[in-house]
Amino acid sequence: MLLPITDAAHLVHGTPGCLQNSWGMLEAGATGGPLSSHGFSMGLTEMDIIHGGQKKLLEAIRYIAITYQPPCIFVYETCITFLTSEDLEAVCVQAEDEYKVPVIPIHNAGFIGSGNMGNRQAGEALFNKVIGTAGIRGEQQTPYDVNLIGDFRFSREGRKIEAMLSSVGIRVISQIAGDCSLEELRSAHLAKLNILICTRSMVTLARRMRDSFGIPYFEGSFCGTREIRFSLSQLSYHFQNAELDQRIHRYMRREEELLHKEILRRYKPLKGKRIVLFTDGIESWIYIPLLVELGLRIVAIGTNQNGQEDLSRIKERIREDTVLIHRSSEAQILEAYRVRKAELMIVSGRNAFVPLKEKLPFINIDEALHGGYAGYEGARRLAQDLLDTLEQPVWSMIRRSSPWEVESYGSSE
Amino acid sequence: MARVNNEIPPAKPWPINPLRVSQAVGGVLALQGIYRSVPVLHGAEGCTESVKQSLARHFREPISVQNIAIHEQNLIFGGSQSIHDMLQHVTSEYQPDVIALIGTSLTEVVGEDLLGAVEAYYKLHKERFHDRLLLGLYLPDYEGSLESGYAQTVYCVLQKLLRSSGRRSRSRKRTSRINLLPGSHLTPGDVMELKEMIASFGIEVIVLPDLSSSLTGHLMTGYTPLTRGGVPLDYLRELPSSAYTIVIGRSMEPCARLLEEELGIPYRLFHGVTGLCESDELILLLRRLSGNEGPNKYRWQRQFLLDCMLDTRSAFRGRHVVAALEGDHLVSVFQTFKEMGIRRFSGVVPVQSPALELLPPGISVGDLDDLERLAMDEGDLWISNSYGAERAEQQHTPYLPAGFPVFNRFGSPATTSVGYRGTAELLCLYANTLISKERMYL
Repeated sequence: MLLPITDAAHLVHGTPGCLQNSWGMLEAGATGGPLSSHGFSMGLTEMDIIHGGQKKLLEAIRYIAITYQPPCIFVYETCITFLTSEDLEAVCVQAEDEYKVPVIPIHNAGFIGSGNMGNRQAGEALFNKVIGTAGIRGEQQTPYDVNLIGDFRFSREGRKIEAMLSSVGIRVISQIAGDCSLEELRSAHLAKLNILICTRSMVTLARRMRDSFGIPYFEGSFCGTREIRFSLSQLSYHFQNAELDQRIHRYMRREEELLHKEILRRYKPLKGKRIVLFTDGIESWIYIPLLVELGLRIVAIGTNQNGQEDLSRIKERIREDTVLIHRSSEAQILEAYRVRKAELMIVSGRNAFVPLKEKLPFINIDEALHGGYAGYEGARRLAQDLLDTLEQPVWSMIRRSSPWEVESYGSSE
Repeated sequence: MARVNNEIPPAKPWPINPLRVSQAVGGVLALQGIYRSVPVLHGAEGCTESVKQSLARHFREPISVQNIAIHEQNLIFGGSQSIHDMLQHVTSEYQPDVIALIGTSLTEVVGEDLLGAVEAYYKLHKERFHDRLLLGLYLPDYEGSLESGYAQTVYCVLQKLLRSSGRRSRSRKRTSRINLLPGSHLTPGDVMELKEMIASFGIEVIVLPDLSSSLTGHLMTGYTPLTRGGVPLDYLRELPSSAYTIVIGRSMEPCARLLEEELGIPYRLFHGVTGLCESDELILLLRRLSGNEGPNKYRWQRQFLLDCMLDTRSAFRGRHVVAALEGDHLVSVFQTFKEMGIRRFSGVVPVQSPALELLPPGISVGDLDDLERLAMDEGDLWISNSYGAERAEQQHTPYLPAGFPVFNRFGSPATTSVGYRGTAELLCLYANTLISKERMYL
């Protein structure tokens, strides 16, 4: 979660395996800072566990502080160090004192809960130790300063949204936790408004910022014109400035017109195409409005890992003829794909290999490396990706008979 | 480069960063695939040196080539005597099996009758050529390119071979043997892979030229000015009694046609045996020629390739690939991309080529400078010889070396891009290079 803070050092206080899960998970396309590709792990051994790793941890922090001189060091607690009741806080306080660098413990041992819980812990730590530690520098403030608060893998979306907002004159101070430096995070409390982008786990942070700094927040999405309109209108409502309001609405009208024209012409082949959506978490609903807008027919949605909250969000956004497959097994999804004659499957995360091994045309949202699908530009990108995918000959190629099954390929060349 | 953005420069009067390679390089390269042969270049001394150097740099192997240095007096008084002397020297000193006298543009311009001189020498010393092949041909560098020089040389070898083997060649066909005529765009590694595939079906194969046993880097001790590997001449003489010919590359088709017309050997043209379709076609052909199903490993390799196509497909989606290669090579590269599906394929070939009709309209005759202009239009991958590396980098276009020459890279002659396995390797290479852009520049 905090990895996108690329100038900080991230030290995992645990056994060697604990690092693997997060190291290098920073998505492609993130700018990367001086320490973004470093993975620091304590690599605790059996003896360390028995005798305690606090001393070793202190040495490690010292080494990082002297060698790399990061503006801040995050120390992550893991299951093992939690069980052996290491006093992370004490070590961090001591280290901070000795080496004059903020050392922030994150209490996110794996068994505490899901990734969402970890995100919430990270938010807590940010709120307690980082946000608000920078002084007020008047010259750097504008009347329309906001923070973007997103979920894991938020960097590329965040950058797109920042670009969008800046074109109507709104400045993004920090992206929590997208692509940003520690310094930006420290001055996050100077914002006038927090925008929560498709995330549940960070609501706590937004609430606490509202209570302590008086920064209001709202939740919004930037996928598809309807959602953009909703989010930007809320934004405009908050600032209550006629001039800004006019600017925002003019911007939306212009962009929507352009996009709709393109949907009618360039992306026309997408109209009526039947797709199956089999994605996890927030990805299961944020793209629905956009897909519908592009003229696609979502014939079925697999709602594997979704909680009630996600489910109701899905239901708000679909049409009547979409089949929801609850607790869906792969077989059910594939059956729905065949019965309802779908032409493309959209997958993410753990579902990626379902269509691949069945040789069905698909698009993997996680793999669309070249940027997110937020904003008007993102809508075009999704349309283009869908179009390109549908047109790729590779789907028919892989269904070709092998040379052991035929006596001639005819004049197919 | 200080070119103003978006401004279309005037039509270029001459090539900048040219792509063309001298035909003589192709000729010398082809002869490296025949055992104990020696090409003799008739031209200025620098010509030979540059041919030798560029080949040695690409393959990292010693190259067999001799030179009849043309001096002023040869130009003025005619050089037939020096040709005689050189042939005399080479045949008696080195005892080669095949000697090819190659005329350069200098020969052509002075109007030296190279072929006449070769013929005269042959008539004079017939007894020396019972078990040898002597041929002469012109490969001026003001026309054609590496590919055409290579193909012409192979054609010339075949012609001489048929003539010298006379009646023998019309003997009964051996059904379990075929000929393989690989084009200049196949690496020694490719040829090796094809030989293995064919042999694994229980079919014997004669390869002309066989670079796989000559430029792959075996360590034969001792110095010889002759080639150290390739197809031996006495084996080559069996070629007329083969039952079938597999020819790879449009430029090589005339060679196969010659065998068909003179000896009635049917042939099948492949563009590169790269990609799923052509690999399928080859396996099917081998199944039919051999009457057996071949080893199981190819079924596995096919599965592996299909999976690889699915794994890499998103790297290809919506991309613009630009490539500067010889005609046949470009066709083979293009067909691989076509199977995956990219947004646009554009590029240049060094000279007019029959391969152009197999390529999309965006391809024309040009140079690396033209390629650069194509890459400016959102190029996502740049494929060319090593001279393009730096230009590609300055354009922030991911670059992949291919074609000739490729230097400052180890192992490029051994890379394989034919058959299921080779295609899978190639796809991964393409895909990895394509996604490197996101890592580097975003």
